[in-house]
Amino acid sequence: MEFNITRFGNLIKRDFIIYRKQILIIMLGLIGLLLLIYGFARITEDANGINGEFWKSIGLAFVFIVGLTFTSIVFRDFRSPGGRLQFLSLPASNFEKLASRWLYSLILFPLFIIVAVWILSTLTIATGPGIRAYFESQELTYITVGFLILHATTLLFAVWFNNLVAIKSTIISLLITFLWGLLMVGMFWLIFNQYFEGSFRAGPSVHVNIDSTAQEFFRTKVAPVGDFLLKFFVAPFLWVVSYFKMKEKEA
Amino acid sequence: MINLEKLHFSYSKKKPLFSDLDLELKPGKVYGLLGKNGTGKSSLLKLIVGAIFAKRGQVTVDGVDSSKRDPSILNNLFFLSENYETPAVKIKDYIAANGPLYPKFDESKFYSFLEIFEIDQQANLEHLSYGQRKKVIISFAVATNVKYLLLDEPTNGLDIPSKSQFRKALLSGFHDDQIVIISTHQIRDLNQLIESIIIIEEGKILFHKDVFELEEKLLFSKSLSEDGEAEVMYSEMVPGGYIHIQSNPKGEPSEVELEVLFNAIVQNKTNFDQIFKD
Repeated sequence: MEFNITRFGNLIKRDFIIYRKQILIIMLGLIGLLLLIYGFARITEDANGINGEFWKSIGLAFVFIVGLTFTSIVFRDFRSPGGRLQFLSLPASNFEKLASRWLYSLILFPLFIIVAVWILSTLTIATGPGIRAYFESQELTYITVGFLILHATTLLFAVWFNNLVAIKSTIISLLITFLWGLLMVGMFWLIFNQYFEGSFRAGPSVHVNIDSTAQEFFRTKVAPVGDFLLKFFVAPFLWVVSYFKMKEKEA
Repeated sequence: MINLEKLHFSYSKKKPLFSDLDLELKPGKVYGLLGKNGTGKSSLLKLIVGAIFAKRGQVTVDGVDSSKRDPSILNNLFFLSENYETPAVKIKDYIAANGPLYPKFDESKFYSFLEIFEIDQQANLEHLSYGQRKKVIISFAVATNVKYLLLDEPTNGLDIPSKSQFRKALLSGFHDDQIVIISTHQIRDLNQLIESIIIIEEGKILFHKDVFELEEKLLFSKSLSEDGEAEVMYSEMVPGGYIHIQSNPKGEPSEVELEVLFNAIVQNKTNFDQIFKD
């Protein structure tokens, strides 16, 4: 894994120069959309409803929906054989190529959305009810971890597939989640079935009854492991997989 | 140096494109990569760049496995593919974006090539024709001063004057430690440029000789009739008569007609092997 800061900087600069028109259009489009949502809310809602909490939900929706859509097209070079060939033969390491688009999609683009929403919310609050958005630290952690995992998944599919990344990644992610869920429930049942008090129902929602000892066991032993994996393992693991996918990517 | 060793490559399991292909390319030459459609000329270039990977065997550039896509090799290598895509930016922006990635890129050289090609320096690539865009990329490719310059059908889409401008640009930018590989169907456009000819056929290197060797061993002559002299190995009708290829025991000077030679070798290689063995 090779990394050179000058080369990486040149790669970032290259992307910015080549895509600056598209970047500008996307940025202006987003600001326009935010203003449109604000205008619509002003017409349809009570003025008190447009406050920090309102912008919080809008901001989150934008970061997740627009941010992940942007991530899905971050390797748009891969859509054509010529584009793939040019990108893969650029004088930079596979790691630098991946990291440059990672930076744009995980840091810079969401940061722009957050700043745009923050400016609009500040302006609204200054002239409105003055209720600011409030994030509890745990809530913020879940949002960050959720975005990191979803972003890493989308980035992996963006490297993997050449086109229709958003559609393919949504279908595959849902399928994997469903199969993984089934597998987990099955394993859970096989390993821990002695702790169940009796009912296990996997209908539209999974419902299990476990005794208090088991509850304590899961709370103290299993949950921290799951929490650790989600916070520190899943996204980095997917980044590593993306790197290897980039390494084996062919034109 | 570029080295292909026991290279095996295929797009499908049924028919390999290359099997046990060996090739060594040394600096200081312009190689002409010739072959019929589908013989794998472009694929061979992609393998050298590391854009596709060999199934078996190895492709090394300066001793480094090309599939690693090592930046120290890639910043000394430029591949102008047939379907090269240009972004919708001004030429100066294209240079600002891509020039810094190539340490030996010479901006003044680039603009001097644009002058040769009569391209407006202020133009936006989006508003240029296919041929004009190709000229810009050719200018960029030559101005990178890379050691390895791979050009896939570079004269496709160029008008007649541009073809000679292309030769001029390439020759003026060529340096002794460079390896230029030109894959082409339009051999006539590059007849005076190519120094070594490589013909690919059925997954193998069918023929690989330097042009000076061809000049030494073969005699190319023209006549009005098909019946040339006794030792004629191959004759081909061309506008205004026939071109004959015969052995050249006296070492008489003649200009190698690469297109005729290509046809001759593809049709009957054995005859030529014999001459070069002697």
